[in-house]
Amino acid sequence: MMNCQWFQDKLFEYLDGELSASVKSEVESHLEQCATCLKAVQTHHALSARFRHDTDSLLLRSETSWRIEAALQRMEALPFWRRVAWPAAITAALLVAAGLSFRRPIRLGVQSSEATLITAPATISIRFSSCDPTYTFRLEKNRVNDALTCTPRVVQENLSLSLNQNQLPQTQERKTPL
Amino acid sequence: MDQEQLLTALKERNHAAVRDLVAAFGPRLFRSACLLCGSETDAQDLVQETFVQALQSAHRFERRSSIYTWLHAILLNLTRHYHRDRKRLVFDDQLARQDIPSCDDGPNGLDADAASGALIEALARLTAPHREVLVLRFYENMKLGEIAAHLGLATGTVKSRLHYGLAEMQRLLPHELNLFGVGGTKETKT
Repeated sequence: MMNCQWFQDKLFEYLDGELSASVKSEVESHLEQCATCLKAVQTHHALSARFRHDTDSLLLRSETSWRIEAALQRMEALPFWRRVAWPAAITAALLVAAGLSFRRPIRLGVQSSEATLITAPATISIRFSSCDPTYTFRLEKNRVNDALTCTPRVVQENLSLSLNQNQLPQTQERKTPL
Repeated sequence: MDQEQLLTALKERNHAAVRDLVAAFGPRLFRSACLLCGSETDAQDLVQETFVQALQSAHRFERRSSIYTWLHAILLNLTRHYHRDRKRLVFDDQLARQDIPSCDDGPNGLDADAASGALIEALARLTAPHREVLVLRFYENMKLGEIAAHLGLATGTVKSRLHYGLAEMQRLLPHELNLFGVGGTKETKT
């Protein structure tokens, strides 16, 4: 037997016309007896009309079409090398940095009066720090007081290197202090 | 110009086709954007960016939906980014209430139109997932299955969000809506 809660579960399918004939007829007979559920159906339709009505006065700027065309023209006018320059430069810099870090042993310090050459440690600790800005403002009489605060965020990762010591290039150490 | 011709012309960056596209879908898309973001000014920018992104990716459109649904999917994505970026702006309303400014100043001129609608204000107070399903259901008149496909959700999830969103709208606009509450059907005493 249909009750209001069951009807509530079927409301959207009923409005979408997606119930089977038997369930639809059960729903309609419930609606004949239940003023509250009938009101809910009517309100659903009224809400759709309300959404339309309340947005009728909102108009897209007349120059939008022109602005879109202008934006596209600017993008088309940008030469190919300028579109790829930055990504290419960053990739190249990363490749060079990675290549150098694996080819060269790392000088970590000085012992006594001579430089000591040691190879990279098995684990490298990398620390990233960043700052999340938050803009806060409040109304005070007719003035707006604002503040920009930064929340620091630190991420530390320990990376393990699987370098074979024998594969490191044999470099001639210069006996000079760092 | 039918959908196929329009798409072909857009891929060729035909300026007349761009104007036709904006004229055909711009107003409806803009109103949807106003409901989704709550600000007329920001909605203008969101719609403009939607068209630019659509034209840049016109060659990737797979014709599995209508052009409007495709444009709306781009708009939804941009609106989510918009809300995420705005989270960094924290309005300290508790402090503001301690010393309410004179009403003579009127509402913020930029968003005066958006602020004038009780419906848009109420929508702005919902969470983005609930606001999205309500806009798709009541403004775009989408069926349950269409909303689920558009948002990539299960139908049950959409239904549950609709019920929750409607209950919240009833709470926010008690004198204007008479819908089911969260706990089931209730008589509303006026």
